[in-house]
Amino acid sequence: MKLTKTKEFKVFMEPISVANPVSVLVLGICSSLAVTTQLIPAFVMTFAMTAVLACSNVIISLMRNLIPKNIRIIVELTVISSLVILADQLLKAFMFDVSKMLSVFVGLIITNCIIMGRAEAFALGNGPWISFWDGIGNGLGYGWILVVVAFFRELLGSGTLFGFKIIPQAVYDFGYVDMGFMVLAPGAFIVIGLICWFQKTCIKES
Amino acid sequence: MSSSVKSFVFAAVMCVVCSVLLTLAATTLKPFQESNERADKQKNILKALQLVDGKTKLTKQDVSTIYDKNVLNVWMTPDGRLSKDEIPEGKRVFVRADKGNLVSYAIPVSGYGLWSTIYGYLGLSADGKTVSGITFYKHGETPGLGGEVDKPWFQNQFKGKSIIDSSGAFVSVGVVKGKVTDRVSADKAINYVDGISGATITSQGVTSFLKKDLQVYEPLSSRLRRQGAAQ
Repeated sequence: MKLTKTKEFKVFMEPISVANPVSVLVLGICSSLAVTTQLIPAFVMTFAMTAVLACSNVIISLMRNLIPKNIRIIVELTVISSLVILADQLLKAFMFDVSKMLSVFVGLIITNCIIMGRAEAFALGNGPWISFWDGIGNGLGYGWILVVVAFFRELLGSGTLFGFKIIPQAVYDFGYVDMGFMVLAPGAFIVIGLICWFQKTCIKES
Repeated sequence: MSSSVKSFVFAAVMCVVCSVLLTLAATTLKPFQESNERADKQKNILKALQLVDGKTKLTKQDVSTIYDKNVLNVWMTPDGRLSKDEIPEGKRVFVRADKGNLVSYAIPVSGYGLWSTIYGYLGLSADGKTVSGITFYKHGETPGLGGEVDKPWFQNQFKGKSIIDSSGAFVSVGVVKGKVTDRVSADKAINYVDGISGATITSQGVTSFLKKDLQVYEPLSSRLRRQGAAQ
């Protein structure tokens, strides 16, 4: 069987394209606004989020036949927050610089609705292996939107990419001004809105 | 077993497992985290005192070697003198000394930004008025907005600024909204730095806690200024 025809590949690719958690399902918007002012945090958030999402999906999927239905949300939340706290503690102990850069983002992962959403919608009804791929796919689907939004916001808002000056000083001397609006949360709303619109139009056509 | 009993048992087991796991992680990792935090504070004191430039990579060992060699941990007495021994009403001062002479000194500064308490160190030269450097090492401000306080472009602006005005009165260093050149007259520019766009409240917070903390250390700073004037 070809790789592209497997079920795992399908659950991996879908959230990256047609069922994107941010641009199609409109989940996880709150953190997309917060972490996309610059590219570096967007990348770091993508990695952290993908790791936590894959782990939480696997753990919840392993326990799916044990979890009593009436308290499942609390159980999911406990698993997710324990994972996030654990990751935060490990970072602080062994990768202090990274943990300083992430600052408030680590805590933000707990409140990301995509994680709860995938636990509820996928991990509770599927095996651990396929849930793992669903987690990776959703993490990256969320991540690429973050990176695209951060690219535009950093370039237009601060004139830099990855912290390096991109727009030459000569342009500023001519009277060019960074778009301060892009640095603020509403700038992200507009970029995400454009991505949603773009993707909806493309999907309709295909 | 009825379903509600099962739920209770499951919840109890879940809680115990998670708390044991987290407690275990927290206690075993604590020594590592504390040593990281201590090294980070020392590195920031060194940056405020201009002993390291913040660009070169330093290991924890390097930091503590430079720190032990150059920095004295002392206390300021209420009348603005320095004491080697801890005194109850004293305030911490980190002094960079060279052959027994004070070169510069760093004071801890902290206060509210928008979301969180910002912690940092402000270094002052031996003349008691010129800022030698500033660092913020711990905060929970929004990255890209208030979080810019920990970026070099913001911190480097403070170097060479003065905490007194042209008449010699204490005014602290303020953060303006926008650019200094647009906001204050040329004779006052020495007391102000550019603000962070999109982070007005954080900038205001920095202004107010710098003033508050510099005021606390004013006995020492003003004594040094008088000494400088007498020479």
